[in-house]
Amino acid sequence: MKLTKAILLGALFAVGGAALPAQAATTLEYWTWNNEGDYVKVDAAAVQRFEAAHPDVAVEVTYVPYADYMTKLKAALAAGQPPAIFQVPWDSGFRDLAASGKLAPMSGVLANGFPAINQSAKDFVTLDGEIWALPLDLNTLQIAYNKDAFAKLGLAPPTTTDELKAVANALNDAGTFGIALGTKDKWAGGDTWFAQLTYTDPTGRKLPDADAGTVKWDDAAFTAAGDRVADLVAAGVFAPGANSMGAFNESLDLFVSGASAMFYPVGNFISGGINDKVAGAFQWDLFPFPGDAGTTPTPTGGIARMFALPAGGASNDAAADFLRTLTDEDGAATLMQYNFIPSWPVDVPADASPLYKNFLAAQTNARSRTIYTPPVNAALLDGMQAIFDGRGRGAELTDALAAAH
Amino acid sequence: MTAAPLAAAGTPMVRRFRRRASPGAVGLALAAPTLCIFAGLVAIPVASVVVTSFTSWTGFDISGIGWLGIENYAGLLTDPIFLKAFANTLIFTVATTVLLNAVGLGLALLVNTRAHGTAFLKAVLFLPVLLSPVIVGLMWSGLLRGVGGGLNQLLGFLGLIHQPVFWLGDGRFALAAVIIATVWQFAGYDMILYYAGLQNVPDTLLEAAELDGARAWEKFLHVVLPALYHVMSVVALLNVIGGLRIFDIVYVMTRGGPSRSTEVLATYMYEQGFQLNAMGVASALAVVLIVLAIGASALRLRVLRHV
Repeated sequence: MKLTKAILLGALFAVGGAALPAQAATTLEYWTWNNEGDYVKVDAAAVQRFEAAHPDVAVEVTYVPYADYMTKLKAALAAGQPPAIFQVPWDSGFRDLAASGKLAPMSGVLANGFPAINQSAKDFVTLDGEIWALPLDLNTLQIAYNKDAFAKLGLAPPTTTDELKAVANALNDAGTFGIALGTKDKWAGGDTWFAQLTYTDPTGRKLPDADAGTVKWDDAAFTAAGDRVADLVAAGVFAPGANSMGAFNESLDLFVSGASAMFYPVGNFISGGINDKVAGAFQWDLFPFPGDAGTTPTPTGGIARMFALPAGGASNDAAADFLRTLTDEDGAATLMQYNFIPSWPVDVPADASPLYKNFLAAQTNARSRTIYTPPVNAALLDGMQAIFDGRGRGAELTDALAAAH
Repeated sequence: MTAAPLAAAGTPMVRRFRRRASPGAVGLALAAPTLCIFAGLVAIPVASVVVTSFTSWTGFDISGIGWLGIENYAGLLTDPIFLKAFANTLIFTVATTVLLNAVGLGLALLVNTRAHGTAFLKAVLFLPVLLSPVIVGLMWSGLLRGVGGGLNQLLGFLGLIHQPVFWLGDGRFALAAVIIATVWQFAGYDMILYYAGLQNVPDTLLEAAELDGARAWEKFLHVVLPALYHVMSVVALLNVIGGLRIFDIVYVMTRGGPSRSTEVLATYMYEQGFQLNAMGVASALAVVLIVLAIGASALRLRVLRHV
């Protein structure tokens, strides 16, 4: 009887073992919030290539909603159970994270088997002389416009603020909203201020200097940028109700549905998502947020996605290999295939799409959209909501920035 | 089966313990498992929050913690966002408590009749309570959307508005919208509690009032309502505590905006802790919430003593 049982159990194990796929010895947890646009395809391609080259390692991709991302990441880091590879924010939260002691230093890692990252991108992720993240790709923020709607009204993409106001008026008269912008989750409102700051501070130095404490936050350039946004709001350039809409849901819906003929902010990260939603219903293109006559249209931008490894992570070697897969020749080709700009020099394919060429051209003079002092950044986002609510101007905004500092 | 054989049971060691131990020690031994769970899940975490509220911890590395004394609390007193969030929390709590009690009691009186279909009505009215607040928030956000929202379409159809109203993007309406969504979700819960309370109102009292010539509203005012005081106090306390810690519906519907017009203590605590990496300030906010909740409970006990 015992022998029969043993044989049966042995057979079960044998059959079960044969039926199960081979298990990877190591699983790398990979956290990111970018499940919009075409990043999902970039991730999937990298995972497939990596797992083929490393049969004993599996990559488990987890998309954590942006709103919850830092909550979950901080909890995981504090608990000593961080993911093997994780996206880190490009905004004001990065410096706290870099200084937390929870990230692995990356200078040594990036010196081995990675492409030469652009110096400006490296500077962005460097704190106290050490690099704390891999900047994967760069973005530029511009205004998307519905080419068909513009053509129908005989409108051309505006190159000055006055032209932008005139275009918005013409659209409003035709029953179409101007720029759809969602500031419920605040950050997109901040981007309108950064866009205007490119014109009120032609040097581009005041933002980093204010962060460093050598320029005051109530500087005239900062106030003027707030005033310019307030003027655009008052002139009906934006679709109403910005504060009630999310950056990439309700406001994007306005653009996709044709209710708005323009949409901001659009970077490489969302272009695939727009294409999917528009689904060929109309043609669209991009132009930088314009400034006064005689100024060069200047987009804003920065690093789109950056990744870090945990300090002392047991799988850091394998995780670094995965990052190498994201940045090798095939990785770069995949990024470019989906209109993303690698943060290192690459040869752009001759048959690159016009949209991609637009992104690349914009990248050459893109200006910063980051405040590194978290309370000041929070005050900016609040102040911009007040401006979009029609209850504030530049002076109130910069008073709040100065107070927050 | 009586208690005697059970009392006589037990190992010699247990019997020795019973003879020697004081009743207090026995009680403590029996309560020990519960006390351990309470300490692990409530007392120690609360104490940690209180301690953290006096520090500058960023939430990452405990070794980087710095002692600030009462600085976080002093900072709150001069922080306009905290004062706004505090005021909004009180407005939200009072408004939802009053409305939930009024609507809950009204619905309970409605379903307490012998009319046909009240069982079905009870189930339907309770249904929103079973939904996740996140789902409710998303649903109401869709309903209150400026362009294409259900409410604007209805008001437009009735000719009451000619331009879209951005209910959640307008500081004049946003807090009211969140309050209404909350009352919609939880009125069914209060209804069930009041309905249970109404089953305990003695018929004899109602009949006696009727014999004395009392009208319906007089019976309600002088018989039903006094009989519901205890239920009312429990319901109100639950509503107050729920109102003080409100987070999810606010976060989903407005993120505390526009311009902090719907900021409440819990959303501000979240921002401080997880977006600004100021765990000390977030903990101070948590302590304020705890104190408010304890204050509400104490007030309830005091009021009940006089009922």
